[in-house]
Amino acid sequence: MTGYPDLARQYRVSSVPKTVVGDEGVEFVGAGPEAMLLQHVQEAARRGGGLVVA
Amino acid sequence: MPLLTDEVTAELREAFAGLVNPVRLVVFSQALAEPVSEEVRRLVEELAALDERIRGESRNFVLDQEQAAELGIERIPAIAVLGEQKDYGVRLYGLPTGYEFGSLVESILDVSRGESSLSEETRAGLAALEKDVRLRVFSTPT
Repeated sequence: MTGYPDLARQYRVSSVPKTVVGDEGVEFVGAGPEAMLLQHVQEAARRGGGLVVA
Repeated sequence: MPLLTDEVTAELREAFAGLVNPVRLVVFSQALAEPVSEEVRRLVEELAALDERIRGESRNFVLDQEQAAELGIERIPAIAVLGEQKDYGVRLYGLPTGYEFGSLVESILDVSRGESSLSEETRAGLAALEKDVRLRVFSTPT
C-alpha cells in the first residue's frame, strides 16, 4: 500500500488488507469466509468483469 | 550478505519439500530507478537456490518490455509466479517482507501443486464465471 501511493489513491485504500474485485466497484476490507469472496467475484463478473488478466 | 537468515532458510527447505511441479519466478526489476526492486531480485535468486524445482528468472522492466506486457506486469518490483505449463495469474508487487513473504511462499507451493485449497463449491462457482475477474489485494508489509 505505501509502496504504490497512486494505486492506494485510485482504489481508495485506507486500511488493509483491502481486496478490489474487478473494476466495477466491488471491494471489501479484511478477511471473510470463502463463500463471501465467491459472491464478490460473481458480483464483479455480473457487473462487467473488469480487466482480463493472463 | 544474504537476505534469508539460516533459520528462515531451514524452514523454507522444509516447506519446499512439498513442491510437486517446477515453478518459475520471473522477477522484474530496474536497479537504478527502483533500488528496492534489486532487493526483490536478490530474494528470488536466494529462493531459487534452495530447491531445483524453483527457477528464478531476472528481467529488466525497461529492456524486457515485451515480456512484461505478455505477463501483464505494470509496475516494479514484480514477481510473476508461473507453473511450468500454466500461468495461474499470480503476480506479487512490492517487496514481500513480513507476512507477505509467507504469501509468496504459499503462492509458490500452490502453483507447484497446481491447485488451491478452495472448496468444491467455490471452484464450481468460479468455473461457471463467464468473464475473467481481477483480484487486487492491497496489504502493507508487517
